[in-house]
Amino acid sequence: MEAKKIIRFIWEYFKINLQSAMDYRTNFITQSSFMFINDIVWVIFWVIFFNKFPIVNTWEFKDLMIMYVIIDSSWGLTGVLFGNFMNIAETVRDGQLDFYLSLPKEELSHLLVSRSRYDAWGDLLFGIVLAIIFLPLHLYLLAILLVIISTLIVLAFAIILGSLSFYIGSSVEIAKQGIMGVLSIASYPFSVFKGYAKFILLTLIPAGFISGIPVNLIKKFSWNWFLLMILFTIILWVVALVLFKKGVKRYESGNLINIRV
Amino acid sequence: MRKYFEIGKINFLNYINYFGEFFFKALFILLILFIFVNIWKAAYAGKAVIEGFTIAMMMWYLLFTESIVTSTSSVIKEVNKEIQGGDIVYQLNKPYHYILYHLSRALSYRAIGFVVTFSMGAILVWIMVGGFNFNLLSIPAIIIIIALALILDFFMIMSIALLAFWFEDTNSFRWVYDKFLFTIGGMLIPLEIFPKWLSNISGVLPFSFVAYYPAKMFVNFNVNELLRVIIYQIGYIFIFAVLAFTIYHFGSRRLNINGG
Repeated sequence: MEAKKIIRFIWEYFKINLQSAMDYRTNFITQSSFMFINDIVWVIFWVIFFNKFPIVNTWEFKDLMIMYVIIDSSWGLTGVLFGNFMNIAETVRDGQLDFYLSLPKEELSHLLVSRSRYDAWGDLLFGIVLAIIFLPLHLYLLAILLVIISTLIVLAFAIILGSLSFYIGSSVEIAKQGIMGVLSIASYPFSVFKGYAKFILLTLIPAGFISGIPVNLIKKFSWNWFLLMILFTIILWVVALVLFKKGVKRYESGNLINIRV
Repeated sequence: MRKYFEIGKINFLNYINYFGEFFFKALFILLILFIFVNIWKAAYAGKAVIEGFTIAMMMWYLLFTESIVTSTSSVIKEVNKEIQGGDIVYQLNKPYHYILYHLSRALSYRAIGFVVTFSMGAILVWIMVGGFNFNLLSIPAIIIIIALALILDFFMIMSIALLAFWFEDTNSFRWVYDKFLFTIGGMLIPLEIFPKWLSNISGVLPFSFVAYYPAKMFVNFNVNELLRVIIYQIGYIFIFAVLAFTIYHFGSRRLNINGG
């Protein structure tokens, strides 16, 4: 029941954010279209690279494009629906959490959905376009499922890093570099990582589960890896929620009065 | 000229106090270097040399381009804020030119950024792939090329930043500019890896004089090419400086000062 309420809440906020985007139409179109162009330039880079090196540790160009379907869609979805995910640490550090705590809605979901990133629309659209070009129709359902799981992992990781602000004063820089670091690693062929590097990317830094494992599952489905991915997501969310909720209890108000118009 | 040197010096001393920021930025670059060591190891797959580059040269090349490109300051954000917020008017009556003031600040910031990133990255690259046959006599020429690359990059970025007189957010233009540096500028891979036709085009565009040529000179110094690179860099600096000053000239005429 609670989950249903939260999903409804996310949907209502999504509509408000969309209306707001339409009010700032020029800004919205500029940011989203330039992000789309930005993504195209990345693909051009990989076209050049794979033209010279057609196979990189079992990965071909098409695999990389599927990776972009997953990473751009999940990154885009996170930014569109939960656009404040990059600002958790800053909100806590600056004592601006008061606004969310003083309202009856659940504070974490409210904090996350209270902003939508315009550039994320460009990523999401690019992911969809690549899916239409490179993904066979019968794999759409699996891809959508993997994008949702991948989105949840990105979100949980951002909550964990952002919540560190409750404990260490400020985790703004750690969160910023950590999230961008994970995104960067997840944007390169997972097949090049071996041994301890691969182990770290499937545990401490979840980049492997954000894009590499989903690509492998689309290439060749494995129940073991699929269930492991779900288990990993659940563990990550438990850690994220415990860190955030315990952190809120330690939180000291910034005595800021915010008026949101 | 002296006043801009003093502005640069003051900002240099100020930025030094924020060493942590440079350190964290450099950590991120180490991550990218780590990814690329793995990618190149997979791509080389037993080959000793690709297009004249050993794997060690390829990684030192990447470290060099990354150190130049990622040393960039937040000039776009600053200019955007100053124009949108109107703070730019406070600088109009100052005894310096707005663009040159930002150039002094940017160069002092980037000098620290370059040195920190390169030093930290050098340790990682050395450990992972070892060194290469570096020509010590090339150091003075390399320093000149780096300085020109940073000035050229600044004027291109400033030309974009000043569009804030007309556009609400110029940061999105910056993403695309950055990606041009990453790709056809040769930041991620040297132009030798490109198809011949693209390599020829990229080789004369301004982006490659920010990233590719300085790094190529670093790993494979060629005195015959040095003069050509410097001439191109100066030529492009002139073009983009004229562009930036022109945009500023027309943009600043749109300012309305309402007292206060």
